[in-house]
Amino acid sequence: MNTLRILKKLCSRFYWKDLFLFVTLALMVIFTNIITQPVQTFLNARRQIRDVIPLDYESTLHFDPSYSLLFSSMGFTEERSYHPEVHEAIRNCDGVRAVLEMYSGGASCQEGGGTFNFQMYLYSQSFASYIPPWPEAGRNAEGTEGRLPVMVSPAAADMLPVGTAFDLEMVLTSYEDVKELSVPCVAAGILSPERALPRAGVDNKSLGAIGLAPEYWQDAPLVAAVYDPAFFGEIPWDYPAIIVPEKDADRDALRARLGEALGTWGEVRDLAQIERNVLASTLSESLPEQLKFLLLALIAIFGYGAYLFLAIRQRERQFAVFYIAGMTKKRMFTLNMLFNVVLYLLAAAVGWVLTPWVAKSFVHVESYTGAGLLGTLCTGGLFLVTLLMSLTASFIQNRNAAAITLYHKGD
Amino acid sequence: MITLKDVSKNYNVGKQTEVRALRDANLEVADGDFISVTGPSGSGKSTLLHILAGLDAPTSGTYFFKDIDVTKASDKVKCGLRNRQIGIILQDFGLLGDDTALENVCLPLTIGGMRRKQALERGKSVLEQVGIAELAEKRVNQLSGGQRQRVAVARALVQNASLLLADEPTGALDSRNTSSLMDLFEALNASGMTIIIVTHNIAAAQRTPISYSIIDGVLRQERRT
Ligand SMILES: Nc1ncnc2c1ncn2[C@@H]1O[C@H](COP(=O)(O)OP(=O)(O)O)[C@@H](O)[C@H]1O
Ligand SMILES: [Mg+2]
Repeated sequence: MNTLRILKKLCSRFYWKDLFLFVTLALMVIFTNIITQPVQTFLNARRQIRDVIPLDYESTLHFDPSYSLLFSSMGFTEERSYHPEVHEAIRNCDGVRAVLEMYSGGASCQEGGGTFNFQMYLYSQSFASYIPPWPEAGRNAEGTEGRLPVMVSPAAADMLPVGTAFDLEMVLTSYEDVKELSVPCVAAGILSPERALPRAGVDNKSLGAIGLAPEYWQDAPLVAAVYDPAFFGEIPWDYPAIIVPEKDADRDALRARLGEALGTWGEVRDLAQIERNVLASTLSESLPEQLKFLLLALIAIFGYGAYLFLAIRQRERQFAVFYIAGMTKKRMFTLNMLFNVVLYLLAAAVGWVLTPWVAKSFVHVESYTGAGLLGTLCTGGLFLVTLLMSLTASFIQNRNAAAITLYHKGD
Repeated sequence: MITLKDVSKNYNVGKQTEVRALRDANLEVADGDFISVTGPSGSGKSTLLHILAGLDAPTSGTYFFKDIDVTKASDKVKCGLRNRQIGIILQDFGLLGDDTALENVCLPLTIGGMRRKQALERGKSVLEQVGIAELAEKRVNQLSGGQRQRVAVARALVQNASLLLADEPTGALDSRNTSSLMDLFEALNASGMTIIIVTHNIAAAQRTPISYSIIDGVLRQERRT
């Protein structure tokens, strides 16, 4: 209890040096938060996506069509745009348990006296079996039997509030012939804007090959539904797709078999590899900007450490007096630790509040938020290491200096 | 109370500049003794006092305070001794200049874990005892040498220590202040406190019943009355 009282005494008196320590710490927190932000954003997205699609990310594979296939499927060549042999090759491959497909494309409906356009996400039944049920699904509202229940995004909910019955118009392009569909639907619920959206897509830069983190779809008007042959008839699934292997299948062997079977049709990668690529490209893209902040953070933390060292050396007299009055060295060390930890907690709070503002004003990235777990761990770790180093160093120095200046003063 | 046996202290051991500040000092102090140690500058007086206070460890020899082997004691034990049993007055007083006299006096109590209110009461009564009650709220920086000396004495007394160690307590005082400080020490001694003062002031030394001299680190008893 008395340690606290002495601590309070140390804290209650205002010194410029404490302000300096505080400012350097706050700067360190801000800069480190900014440095860790790209990785933090990636980690957040990854966690959100993994929360939504409970796959075994170690063993799951992803098939991406090659560009020539993709272009042909868009009707740019004479070739057939749909390639059933690709799916057959995947499905017939030994060790494949399920293929998760989805279709995404533009769709529209006549609502509010005009045409309302939105994005349509249609999941195959196999894909749907891996998505946990929509948490908000109140699937069949009354008087809407015979209509396909769809989930709408918050941005689409203005036009299609829950319970609205409408006819969804869409054009499936991956058919041999372009196929126009009109599907009677009912808005059954609103997609939670906090959750990732499952996906199988072509995307090398974000995690969109596996799913979309909230910030990527939050503002988009879109509707999502699970494929039902009663409404769509038999449709050939588009690529890309996620491939789930048998429980005990050897992933690398399966990958080799798939690669052989699919040849030039496209590329088979594992999800971990996709994630690594995304992280690498995130890092290399933000590197030049981040290096500046790394430098600033190092300057701030070095300034803090060096100044702390000097500040304690300057207070050698105070420590010598405490020592004479019977305070152990251990307790003085602890006291200084506590004092600096208190200072750090205050600085961290200020730093967290200021980080988004600094990021917006100097890095011009709107999506930068306060500290995530990563930033907190990094700044906390950096702080603790620096604190312990300079405290230990200054105390070792102090012990001799205090003895000489105080006890052995005079003749 | 104190047994020093063949205690030596060398500084800068193993270096060209090695100093033998104390050489095989032997000292017996009984409860209630009032001792002065005199010697010229650099003779080892402060060194002796710092060893007695547990601030410095001897290079060789043994030091018992009551039944504690101080040479082998931990930092915690020695700090406990200084906090409760040994009051120390250092050559430059060892006060915190930015703090008030009362705060300085209460420091050992705060460190020892006494409640704030109780500590302040005790601090005030000790300041009264040394005759400077009216200076309690003054910052030490604003006090004269003689007043600071009394604050230092008050701090040494605040825990009712059984031993008082004073390094050149009269060094910064004129003869009138010196004599009144010695009066105070005599009164404390009369009430049972053991006191050891280190000084090069002969007049002050003559007022103690027991006196030692120290020259070039050699400690010798001069007088016992
Ligand atoms: N920390 C130290 N390092 C090296 N030499 C010291 C130290 N403290 C004291 N000395 C030396 O030890 C001798 C005795 O010093 P000290 O005990 O302070 O003498 P006094 O108090 O009698 O003037 C002196 O020669 C002094 O220079
Ligand atoms: Mg001295």
